[in-house]
Amino acid sequence: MLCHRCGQREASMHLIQTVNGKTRELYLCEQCAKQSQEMNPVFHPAMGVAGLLQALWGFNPAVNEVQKEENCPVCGVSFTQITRAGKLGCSRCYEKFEAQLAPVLRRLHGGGQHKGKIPQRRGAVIRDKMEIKELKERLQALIRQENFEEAAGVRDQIKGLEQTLGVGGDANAKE
Amino acid sequence: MQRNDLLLRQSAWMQEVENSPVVLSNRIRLARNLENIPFPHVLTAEGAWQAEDVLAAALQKIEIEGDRLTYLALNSLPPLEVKVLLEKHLISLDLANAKRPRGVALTQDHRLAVMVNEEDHVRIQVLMPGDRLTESFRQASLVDDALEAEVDFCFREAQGYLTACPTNVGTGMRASVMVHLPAMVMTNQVQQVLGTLTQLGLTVRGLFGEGSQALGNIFQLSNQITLGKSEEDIITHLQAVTRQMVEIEMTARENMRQQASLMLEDKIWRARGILQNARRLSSEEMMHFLSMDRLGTDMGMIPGTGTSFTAMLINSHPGCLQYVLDKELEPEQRDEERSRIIRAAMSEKRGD
Repeated sequence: MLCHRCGQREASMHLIQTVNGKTRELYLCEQCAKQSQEMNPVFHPAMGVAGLLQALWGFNPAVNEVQKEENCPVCGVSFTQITRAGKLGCSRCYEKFEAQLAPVLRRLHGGGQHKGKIPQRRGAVIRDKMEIKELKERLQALIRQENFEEAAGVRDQIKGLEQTLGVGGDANAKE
Repeated sequence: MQRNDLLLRQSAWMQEVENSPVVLSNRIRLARNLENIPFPHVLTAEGAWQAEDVLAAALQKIEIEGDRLTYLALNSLPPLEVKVLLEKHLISLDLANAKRPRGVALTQDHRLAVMVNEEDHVRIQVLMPGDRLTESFRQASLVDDALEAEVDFCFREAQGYLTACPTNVGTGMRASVMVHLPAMVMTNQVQQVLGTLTQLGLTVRGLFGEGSQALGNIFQLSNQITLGKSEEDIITHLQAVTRQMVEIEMTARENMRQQASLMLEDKIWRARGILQNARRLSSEEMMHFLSMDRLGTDMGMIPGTGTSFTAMLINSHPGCLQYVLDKELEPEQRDEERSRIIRAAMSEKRGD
């Protein structure tokens, strides 16, 4: 499909524009889309609960949405749909939309990785990895305290765990 | 018959516990999802049936301290029974209203209530009286392990347990306490104090959760953040804030006793008088007066009654009321029946 504005280049963007409650759809090429985004004023509609939720996701219905819509290969949900529902479609969405989700998760939880319970049955390998991570942190602390005797013990523990996991190499990266 | 018996049983979480004048109950909720199946809100009807089948089968094998889970498929339950489950806090409003195949597995004492096909495939809930969140988490975690022995849950190293809504990702845990704060409300401190809780990463809601008013001066405090903190850290934090809340409430009670003793006594005795004598009680009235009555009992101003505050509060809601009496009631009749059961409960002596 050709760009609705210049009529020359191939349209690569799907633009949904909502002005005073009226929705207009446009297919634009990348350059025209950029221009159109700059030209349009941003105004704030009355914010209801839905508006607040969408704001949390960094989504403002008054602002033009310019994006290439891609869908999750497993559940078929697009990121726009996720934003509207406030929910992801399946576990695969977390990988598919990882980049878009990262700022959302940061806003919600302040950043950081999972700490806490790991599945009993399926998490054995992860648990070992986490333990190695914790032991490495402890090792660093012990070295700072110049408690080399205990540090040597911890280092051996790490080595042992890494051997059972079949990894190695970076064990002594930070000496 | 059997289901009737299960629903009418006294819920463990509504029991009174010694020395806990402010914290009424606590709850741990763990959100889990099945691997390779879309989350419930995008599932087809068949997909939802399949998920329900798999989970109901796994759940019915679980036993907690000799108490086996019973699975209730909500789609084949009369609306009144769904309402009873909702009023007793055993299911969420979302689950009650959903149309897809869904259900809840319960122990006999209702301490464990596992929802199937709510926002997530599995929502393990442990509800207990008092503030022992660590014990509740221990039990929830055991159920989680027992389920995970049978099915695969979505889990990633970096993001933890994956949930439909990103607000739950990570531990998938929501820890909450239900607190009774009448003195803070009466001294106009509650808005200000509870307002600061959001800055501490906690959420405040009314008795019936999201969007509900704080009827009966009851509030629910829960953690907001689920990713980047361990379950223990989340619980410790919530408990620390709760302890402060208890302290502020107790101080407010003592201040009132010292500065407005007569006003307080009058309010409390009037509440007792109405609860013992009224021939009609609306839900709101009942909750207000029960709250005052409970405050008076806690402060030793009036003798205690034999029935639990929370049980009276919950069991006289419209659904429970109609279910116990086994008949449909018009609002006015409900007020009448409500006053009758409250009168009966108030005349029981403690220890009877």
